[in-house]
Amino acid sequence: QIHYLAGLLIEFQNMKCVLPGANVKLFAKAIHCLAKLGHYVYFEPLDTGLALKTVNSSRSAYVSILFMKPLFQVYNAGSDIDLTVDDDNLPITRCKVALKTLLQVFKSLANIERSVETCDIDLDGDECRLVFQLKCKHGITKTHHLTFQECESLQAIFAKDLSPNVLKCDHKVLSDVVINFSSSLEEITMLVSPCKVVLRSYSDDESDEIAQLMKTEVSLNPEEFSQYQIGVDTDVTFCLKDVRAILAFCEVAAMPVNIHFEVGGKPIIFSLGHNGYFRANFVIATIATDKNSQHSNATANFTTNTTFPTTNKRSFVKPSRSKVAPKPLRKVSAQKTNAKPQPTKLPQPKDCDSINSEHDVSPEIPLQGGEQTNATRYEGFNSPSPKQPCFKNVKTVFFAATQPNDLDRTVLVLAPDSDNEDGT
Amino acid sequence: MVLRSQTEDDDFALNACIENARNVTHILKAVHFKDTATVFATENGLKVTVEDSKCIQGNAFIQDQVFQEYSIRDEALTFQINLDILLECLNIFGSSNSTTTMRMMYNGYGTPLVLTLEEDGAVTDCSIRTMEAEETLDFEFTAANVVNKIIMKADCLREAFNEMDASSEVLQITMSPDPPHFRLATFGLLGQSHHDIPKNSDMVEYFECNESLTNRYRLNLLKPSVKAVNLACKVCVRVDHRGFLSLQHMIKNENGQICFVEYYCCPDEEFDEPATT
Repeated sequence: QIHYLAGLLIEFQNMKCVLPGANVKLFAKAIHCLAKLGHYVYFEPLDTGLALKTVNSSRSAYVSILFMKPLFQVYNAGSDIDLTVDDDNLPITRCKVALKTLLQVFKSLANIERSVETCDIDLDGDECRLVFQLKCKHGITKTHHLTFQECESLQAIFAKDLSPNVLKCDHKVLSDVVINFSSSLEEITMLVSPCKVVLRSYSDDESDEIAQLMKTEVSLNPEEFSQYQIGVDTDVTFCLKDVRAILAFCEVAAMPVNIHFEVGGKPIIFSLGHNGYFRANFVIATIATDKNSQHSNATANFTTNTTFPTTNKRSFVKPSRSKVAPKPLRKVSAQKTNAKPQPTKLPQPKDCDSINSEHDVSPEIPLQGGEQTNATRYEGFNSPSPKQPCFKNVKTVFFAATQPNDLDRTVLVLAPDSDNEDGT
Repeated sequence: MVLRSQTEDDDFALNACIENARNVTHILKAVHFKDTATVFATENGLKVTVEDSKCIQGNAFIQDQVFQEYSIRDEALTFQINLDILLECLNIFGSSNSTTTMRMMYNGYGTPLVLTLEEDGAVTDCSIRTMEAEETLDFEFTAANVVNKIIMKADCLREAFNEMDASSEVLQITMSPDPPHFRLATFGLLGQSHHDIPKNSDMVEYFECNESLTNRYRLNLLKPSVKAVNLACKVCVRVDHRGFLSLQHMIKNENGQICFVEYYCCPDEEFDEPATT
């Protein structure tokens, strides 16, 4: 592609890379895993490699998998363009593809393992297609020209290396534990102390009799872990379904899994990686515990009543419905609120190995398209007000832009007072 | 196992006996996409035809050698029968490891098709009403008019069909002396997908393409042929100058005998824009 920019003739290239057969299975499995969590996969070609990211509709799970350059036979991220330049003719550097359609390309893992020799991934800017070409045995070629949407960068801000609690183990340790829990169980609680880790079934649905009658609990010894660092005794509750998807991926990746977490309300991060080749981070929201103030329960109700109906079943915040009457439906504009969020100082992790160092930590970038107008930011560890950490973090998991005081402002008053307090 | 005495057999226009009914059931399933089938019986064997929308036809050929006994009194017999019911009867003992012996008898126009099935000492008699045979389509597909012909191992077609984008309304088939020699293309919700098999692939046993031809067929019409591809070991793909498609599937039954299932499909003329390769 040749463009004129400020009088200069510049040739741009779009992303083009080739994965050898041995790594296509890992790629395919990554797609399967992402498909269990989100609806779209964001492709971000970086200098270090190709990042695949997704976030689920309730914004409670974020995945970023980075396939680094050495995994590819050919890797060309394409020209790096500053997106602030307003030029419609600039080549596309990032795109998102529906996972349902991408799954079709990598449907049968068995077939892929058996017959794929290479996988070419090209971003065709002219035709607006993301092209996957699988070259298979017997000379057979399978080409898929997928439609994509241009998108902004999807980033979750988290500093896993600041987590006080770190566990590292073989994925099998967790798989063997998780298999003991009912397949219909949605959430699980992990209690940690320096002497053991306990995984316990969690149910916030008091009407679910079976869940009330049978609870499962499994303990793990610190010896099962290759790294066992508990800075804060705590319990965290998170979505088991997501973890099952993660563990299924770990089985193919065949790498040990690291777990970073702090307390309930702050995300738990499952990560695996092979230095220089591959890195995957799975950021899962955890339920803020009951120790919260009454105010936060109100927020919980607020959350479940509004914009993300899909979360009703999986509300991560435990509303004590008997105590707090549900607030009236608030007219929350899903668009960015008028009040700009406080400029929180994001941690600049220069000394840690987190994924932040690879992505440019930019100020909140709103996502384009439909319902995704919220900035996807997990403000895990940088709450400005230490007095209300859990409250803020619960909210920011779902609505990054709103602030505590905004709540009052956005209340839709249906029947204003006819009299003023001072009698006038 | 002979199920009736010799004297009674002579009375029937068609009398066939097979030791393993699965050898018949198997093949019939490959054309079971509609509930009605037309059966043609000649001294060479049986042909079972199923059609849909006047656009697609599946023919299952069961040669006389497949049967342990096969006798036919007249030159040709033809009747229409409910294929759902026929297959239900043939499967009456359920699927199991032991074999079902079947005797099939038909006495001409207006008489029912009588089946006697035996498995492990249990005997079942079935009498299925036959109907007036309606004329089946003649696709006028002759070897002389064939422009392109490719014989390939069924595996690669099987894989292609199983991975096909079901949201595509059409399947576009390109056969050409130039690359891509054989291409299956779909245009679905996810975009365009191609499945290319080059002529020098070791999956291709015979390749003769005289002209570059691209034709589109309705995918939902061709879908039943997948049943045949799944059973086949080899498939012969032919297309004539009108764009009519012939798929011949070579199927090996449990005794190692070869049977053929053939599908004919007419091209989809709806699309005005030129077919892109």
